[in-house]
Amino acid sequence: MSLSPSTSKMLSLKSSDGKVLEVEEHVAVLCETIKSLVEDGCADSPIPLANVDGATLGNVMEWCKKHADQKASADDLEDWDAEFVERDQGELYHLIMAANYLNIKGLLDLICQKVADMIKGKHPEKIREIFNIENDFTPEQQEQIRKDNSWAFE
Amino acid sequence: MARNLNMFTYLPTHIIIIIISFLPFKEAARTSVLSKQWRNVWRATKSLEFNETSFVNQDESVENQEVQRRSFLDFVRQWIMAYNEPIVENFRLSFSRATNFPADVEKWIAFAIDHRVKSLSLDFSDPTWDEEGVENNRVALFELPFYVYGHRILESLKLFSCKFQVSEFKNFSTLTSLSLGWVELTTPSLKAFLVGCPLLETLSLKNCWNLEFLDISAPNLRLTSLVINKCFLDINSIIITAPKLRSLVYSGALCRFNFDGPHCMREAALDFGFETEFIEWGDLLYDILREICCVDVLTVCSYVLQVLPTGEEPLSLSPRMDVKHLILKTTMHENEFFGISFLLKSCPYLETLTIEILPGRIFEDYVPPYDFEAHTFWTQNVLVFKCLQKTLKVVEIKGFKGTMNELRLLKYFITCGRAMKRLNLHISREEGTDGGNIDLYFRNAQILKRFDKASKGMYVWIS
Repeated sequence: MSLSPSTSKMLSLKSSDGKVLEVEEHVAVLCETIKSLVEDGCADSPIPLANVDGATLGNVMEWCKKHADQKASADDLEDWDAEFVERDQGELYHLIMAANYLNIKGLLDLICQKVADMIKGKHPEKIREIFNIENDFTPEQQEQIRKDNSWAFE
Repeated sequence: MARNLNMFTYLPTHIIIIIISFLPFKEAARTSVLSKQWRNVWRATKSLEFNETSFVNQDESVENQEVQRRSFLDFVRQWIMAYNEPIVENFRLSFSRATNFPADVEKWIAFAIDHRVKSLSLDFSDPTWDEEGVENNRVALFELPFYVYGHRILESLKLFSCKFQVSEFKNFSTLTSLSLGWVELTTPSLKAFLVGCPLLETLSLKNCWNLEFLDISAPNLRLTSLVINKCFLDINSIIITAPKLRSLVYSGALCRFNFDGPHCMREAALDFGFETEFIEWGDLLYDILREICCVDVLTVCSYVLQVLPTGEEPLSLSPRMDVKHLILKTTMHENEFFGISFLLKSCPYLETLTIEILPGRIFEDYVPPYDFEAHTFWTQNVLVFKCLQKTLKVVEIKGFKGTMNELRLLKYFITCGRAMKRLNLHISREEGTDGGNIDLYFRNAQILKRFDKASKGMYVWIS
């Protein structure tokens, strides 16, 4: 069966908190998890997604819709993505977990890249502060790690 | 998740590995010090980068460098031996003594191939080599192992000072990025690369020699980005037939550029810093600018600014250029004034002007198209060009010191730029030989505030 926009039917997706979202099939199948359900003919209505809450599901489908749009140019998508990832850490975390569960490589890479960019170029102290990471090393242990990888800390 | 919780205590390890793999290798290693959870995660990164210069300090004695090189070798050997992940996405090796340790290097490359690497970078050049030296004796001695040619899933390949067989480059049907450097490359072999890698989008050539001329043409070429950096050509001529080309970065000797057929170039950067003599090649530069008049972003060097006005038409280009962002790499010498005004006049839609003040070659035998005095050039010789009346909103100076020539040019923008919104001054941090320092440069910047602004909404930002 072809999954082009003109023949696309609607799928119902049910989030962990019971919200039901109507999504065009050609958009929803960007999630490999949903795609295999559709291909196996197991796409019951509504499809229960036990690990994704309604707000996150909405965000994920917004991304899928943009990326399913054949008219969007590469530059256009890049700009759009840059804006899409401007979110607080809680939302980023939920998007990562959802992209992982729904198996959307493009979205997972996008958010992971964003988190990496938040780490890049910063001192360990600053990284701990941004992500609230507790330093559970003793000063001696820390010194030893720096010494073992001195090439990276110079 | 509450605001003050650490997301990494909840993320599965395989996702933390994806995140770490987006970091440069050195920064990934630095995460080991964050906490016990992070202690060893970086050892699973999929982006490996072994760079000799992280270990070997060029300022040390030869003996000490040898000791440091040994510790680099040990590090790579141990690291690769302990690696437990099935896939390596990116593998980069920079090592100037590959021929002294061929067994190791071959083993490392085999490791990358066995781990299904997609992006492979092998740089065996020596950081001490003179980039502008014309001696072509950097014969690449290390030969690319034959099994690399059969690795069909490569998407990106960089080979510096590494010998290869062009005839074997026919399997790379997924290769989109190719970078060659410090290697002999003939015109026919470059052609063979272009034909053998049909998906190529990015091509970069650095310090290649034995090219008769450059011919970047092949049927259905998808190339979008081309970088030519300090290559030695027998005939200074570049033919480009790449309808999808968007970005061209060139540095080296002055060349004739022939664009065969239409192109949709958006960005061009031209640096002819190889030229050591003042010869009146203005017409040649004029023709190059005409070929690329459709770009949005244009970067030119001091050579262009000095030589461009020596042609038959010394004042401006016809037809006008579409440039919206012009970047001038200049020494801010008065020899460059006619070139600067030429470009301002030729770019009526200019919105942003970036002036990067850098050291450069100023020709003592420079001949201006008309007589002029540096102190009156910007007040008497030039008109208020269209871009200053209508479109030029932002002027930024990188490396501002406040020399007389800088102040003269900036005064022109402040007093004539009717659409100006911002003047950004990035003060130079360099100590001058004449006792100049950052405090003096800041004081010089204050002088600019005394000039009458043509645009009421203009804001001067100093950093």
